[in-house]
Order: sequence, then C-alpha cells, then structure tokens
Amino acid sequence: MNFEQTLQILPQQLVFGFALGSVYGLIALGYTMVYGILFMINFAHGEVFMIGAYLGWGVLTWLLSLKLSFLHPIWVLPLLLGIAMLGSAFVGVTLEFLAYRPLYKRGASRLAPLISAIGASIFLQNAVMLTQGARMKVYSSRLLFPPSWRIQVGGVNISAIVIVITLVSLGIMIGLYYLVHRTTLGRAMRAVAEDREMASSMGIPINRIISLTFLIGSALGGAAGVLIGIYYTQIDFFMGYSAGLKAFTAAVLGGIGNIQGAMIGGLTLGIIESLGVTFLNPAYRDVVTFVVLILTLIFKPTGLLGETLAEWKKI
Amino acid sequence: MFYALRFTVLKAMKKIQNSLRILRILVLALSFLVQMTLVLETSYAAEVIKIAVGVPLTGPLAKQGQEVANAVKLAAEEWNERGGVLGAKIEVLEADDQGNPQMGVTAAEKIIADPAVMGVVYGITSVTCIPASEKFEAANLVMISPGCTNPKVTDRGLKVVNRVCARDDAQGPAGAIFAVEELKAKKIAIFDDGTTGPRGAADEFEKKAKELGAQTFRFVIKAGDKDLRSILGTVPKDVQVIYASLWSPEASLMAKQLPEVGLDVRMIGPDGQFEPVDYIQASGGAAEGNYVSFLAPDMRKVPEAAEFVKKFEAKYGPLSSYGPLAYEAANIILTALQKVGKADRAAIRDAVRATKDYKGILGVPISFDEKGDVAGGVIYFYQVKNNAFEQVKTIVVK
Repeated sequence: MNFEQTLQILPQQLVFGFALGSVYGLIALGYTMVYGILFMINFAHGEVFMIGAYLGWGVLTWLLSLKLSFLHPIWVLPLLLGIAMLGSAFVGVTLEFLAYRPLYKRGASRLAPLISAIGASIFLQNAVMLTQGARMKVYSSRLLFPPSWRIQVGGVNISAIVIVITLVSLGIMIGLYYLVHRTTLGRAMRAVAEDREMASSMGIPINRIISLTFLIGSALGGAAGVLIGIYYTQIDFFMGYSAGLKAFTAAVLGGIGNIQGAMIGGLTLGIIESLGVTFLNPAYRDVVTFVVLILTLIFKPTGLLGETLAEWKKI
Repeated sequence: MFYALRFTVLKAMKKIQNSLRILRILVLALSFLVQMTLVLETSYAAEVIKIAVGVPLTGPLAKQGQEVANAVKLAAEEWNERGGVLGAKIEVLEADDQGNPQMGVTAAEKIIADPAVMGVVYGITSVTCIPASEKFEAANLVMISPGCTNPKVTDRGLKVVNRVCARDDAQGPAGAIFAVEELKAKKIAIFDDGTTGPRGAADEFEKKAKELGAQTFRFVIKAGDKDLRSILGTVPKDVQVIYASLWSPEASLMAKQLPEVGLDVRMIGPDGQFEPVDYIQASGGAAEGNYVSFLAPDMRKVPEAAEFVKKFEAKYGPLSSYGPLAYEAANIILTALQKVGKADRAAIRDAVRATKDYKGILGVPISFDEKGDVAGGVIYFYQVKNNAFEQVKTIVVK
C-alpha cells in the first residue's frame, strides 16, 4: 500500500473507528463507575451488555413480526434502547444484590467479589445459551436503516447506522457527565467513591448509591448492546466476553475510575483498532487491543487521564 | 452303639461332602463352557452393526451438521426396513466434533472405541477431517466425507479416507472460471478467513484467476469477526467481483456491510454459503444476486433424488446443504458392507475404495479414484434470486 492510497482510506477508517470507539466507551463507563465506587472489576458487565443486545433483538424481531407499515427508527430505536436499558439495569442491580453485596458486607477480601463476578459471568452466558440457543441471532438493521441512507463526504462513506450509533453514544455520555457532576445524586456518588465511611457519616445511604451505580452502569451497557447489535447485525451469547475485555481495556487506557477517561479511552481504542486493521492483518485486531492494554499497564498504569486516588484505595 | 451310629453318620456326611465337591467342580466347568460358547457366539454374529456420523452437532455449524446426521439416520432406517445388513439392525452413532480439530479427534476416538462401528460419515470441515482421519487410518475404519473439500484431506494417501464432495482445487478454479469467463471480471478481490478449508479454496481461485488473466487482491479476515467495515474499506473501489471464501455468518455480514463502504459488487462464495437461513435470510436481502458454488446439483431437479427429498423433508424439514451427499456416503458404506459379507473393518475399507459407478441419488455415477476422490469434479453455480438459490451454471474443471 503506497502513501497516496493510505491517505485515501484513512478518513474512512477513522469514521468507523470513532463509531466503534464510542460504543466501547459506553461499555467502559460501566466498568469504571463500579470500580470508582467499589474498587472492584465487575467482570460480569460484558454479560449485562450481551443481555441488553438480546433484549433489543427480541423487541426488534417482535416488532418486525407485527408487520407494521410504519417502522421508523425515530420511534423504534428509543423503544429498543429503553427496553434494553431497563432489562440490563435490572440484571445489573440483581447481580450486585445477589453476587457482590453479601461478600463486601461481610468484609471479604477484594478478590472475592472478583471471583464471584467471573462466576456470574459464566452463569449468565450459559443461561442465555441454554434459553436462546447457541446459534447467532440476526438484527434486521437493514429494515430500520436502509443501506441507501448514507452520505458521502469526499470519498468517505458515512452510513446512517454509523451516524446514529456515534450520536446516541456521545449523547448518553454527555448525559452521564451532567448527572455525575451537576446533580445531588452525582455528588453523592462521587462522595461514596472518595471515602465511603465519611460519606456514610454525612448521611449518604451507601447501599442505595451502590445499587444506583450498578443500575446506571448496566443501563449504559444495555444501550451499548443494542447499538452493537445494530452495527454488527449479528449477536451471540459469547459476544459479551470479547466486548467486555475491550471495554475493560478502554477503561484502563483512559484511567479506570475516571468517567471522562472511559469515554476518551473508548474512542482512542476504537480508532487504534481500526487503524490496526488497516495497516496490519485484520486477524490482529484483538492483538492490537491487548498490546494497548499491556503497554498502558506497564508505562502508565493510571491511564491517560489518571484518577487521583483516595488514600484508602492506594494499596 | 452311640459311637457306632456317630461313626456311620460321619462317614455318610463325608461321602455327601465329597460328591458335593465333585458336583461343584462339574457345575463350574459346565458354566465355564457355556460362557465360552456365549463369548464365541457374540463374536461371530453381532446383534447390531453401527454406522457412525461425526459432524458439528453444536456451535455455529450445528445446522449443517444436523442435516448430515439426519440424512445418515434416514439411510439407516431405510436399510432396516429392508431387513438391515448381514442380518443385523443398523444403528447410527452420533459424535459431535464442533468443527474443532481437538473435538474432532475426541469424536474419532469415541467412534473407534465402539467395536460395532463399521464405517463413518465424517466431517464437513477440513480442519477436523484431517486429524480425525489419522485416527481412523490406525483403526482401519473407513470414512466418507460429505463436505471436507481441502486437497490435503485425500492427498496424504490414507487408505480409509474418501469423499463424495469435490475438492477445493476444483471449487476454487471453477469459481475463477465462472468469475472471469462468465462474469467478465478483470479485477477481483479475494477474501478468506485464514482457516484450512477456506484458505485452500482462495489459493486455488487466485492461481486460476491469474492464469486466466485477471488481477487479484488478497484479504484475510478473522473467523468470528463481526465488523468487516474496516477491512472492506481497504478494498480498491474498482473491483468487479469479490470471491468470498468464507462461511455463511461472515459472508452474510460482508454482503450487508459492502454498501456501507460504497462497494456495489457481487460476491461469489464456496459451498459453505449454500445456506438459505444463515446466508440469505441472515443477510436480510443483501445477498440478492450473489453467487454460491456447490458440490451437488439442485436435488429437486434430479429425478433419482425425488424420493429422498420427499422422505427427508417430511421427516426433518427443508433440505439445505450436505444432506444428499451424506445420504449417498452412508449408502456407499452400507453397500460395501453387504458386499464384503462380514463385519471386518479392513475389508470394508478396501471395498469402499473400490466403489465403481455407484448409482445413487446424485444423478451422476460415483467412482472413487486411487486417492479416494470422486473421479471428475463437477461444480454447480447457484445465484440468490428472490431469497432462494437458483442453479445458473455448471462448470467442469479440467
């Protein structure tokens, strides 16, 4: 590939990388928020995301079976997102209540909830496989966003799907930023993240805040599931594993525990991956991702933005 | 008096004990003989003869694998209705290889371990056929593959390996002939997923296409990848056709994602895409107009197959891929078994290889050459029209 050709395809790759990266960022937020508050990596978050994708698929397939004449993304997409977010939030909160709370309530070591999370992840994956079957499911994205809906800017094709995914992800992220930094609830969340005991003595209901964190993080994961479903058009019960690991990488890259970091980490990772596919063999897609993870951990373990750790977390 | 009585009683008891001992020995000897004859009998007349089927029964290729298993079961049932083979009932032993080489070896070991198995219909993925066949070779257990198309499957010179499908080096070149001569393509992009079967077909396609004067561009994707937009974005915009040597999940994704990078070209794919559900339906209409090569003609158009199609579809639903080939393979094994006349794995192996002009349901007589390939590879091209495959062209390689 010579320089001129590279220059031609580069903008296109950046567009795809940005779209994918914004979804990674959305999933990464779930990791980072939980980590910020509990200092634990919720490895079952990838499965919450997968369940969101399945819920969206179920609703979309049901809507298509009704053979409605007016199937416009303007009302279908919010419906899919809404149901997937509600369902995922429910799964996330239940998970916290059943799999994590009993552990940290009894003062178990930090490793215990982590192992519990891996167990929950295996359980959810297999539960979906057994109830839904192992075959891939197909999102009929074409019926929602016809392939003719696309714009061309100087040789770069931008399809409606790419635009919608990027805008929805960025919109949700901005909403979250506002929630965390401009509302009382957000202040309470930040206070719990900073110092749990002190927050408790100031009258903040710790358990409720933790549940709310799981609720919001999981809802974001569910939304990401629907967006990825629409973008990839195929989902399977195993999708949460690799997407989860990538989002985790994005969270670490941006600085785990840091909300803006997760967004920036996601976008950066999406673009790096897209460029990796362009210049290397696409079989190296995951290699690129995990090289980024390893390099971050070696050279800048606090990530791009780096969280200023409270004393109790510096262990 | 008392002593005398006691003496006689004791004497009598001893006598009884002695005779009992002799009796016991006799009984033991007798039972031993009975057991011996029982053992001898079972080794002479097996009550049941098994034909095994090793295919992916779970995982992404389960659909195609199930069809193979069902076709073999149907063949066995028909033989049983006619009285079985060598006076024994035929049973089908199913083993799941998940399309994965390690599971393939495990499945082969499970099959070999059952002494009643006399032949195997094995494999729709070359990557499992190759290691499994090494196991079968050591056990002299004959296998016929309905869908392992890589040249290496038979080129290793194993005595047990046969296949009723054509070879990649027939399917690849046939695709190239079709693309260059039929579709008049000068610039062709070639994709494979890096695994043995698809890569083999892509290599052969490239060789033939270059020979015919076309310019080719090679790309590799990762099997299981859901986002092909980035790699599709690097395809030159002036290619006239894409040869997608991929399985249907990736091929349907490619068909859907092509318009998103501004490419409006037709795809040609090998037999793995001959799937109404996982390719045509999964593409949601994007596959319309694309071509797929397959190793068997449209069964609905072959008069010999009419009965098979009717029976199969009544029992297991629509026929979509390897069913007819698997049915043919099972029948060839059972015919050879009957010809040999005894349950002897090595003799059956040789009898299968010697199959000459077997007239089954495929509409062409089947003979195996010295490597186990079907003599003369004929490839059938189908086009997706109105969400169904329609046969458009037959190409004979060589």
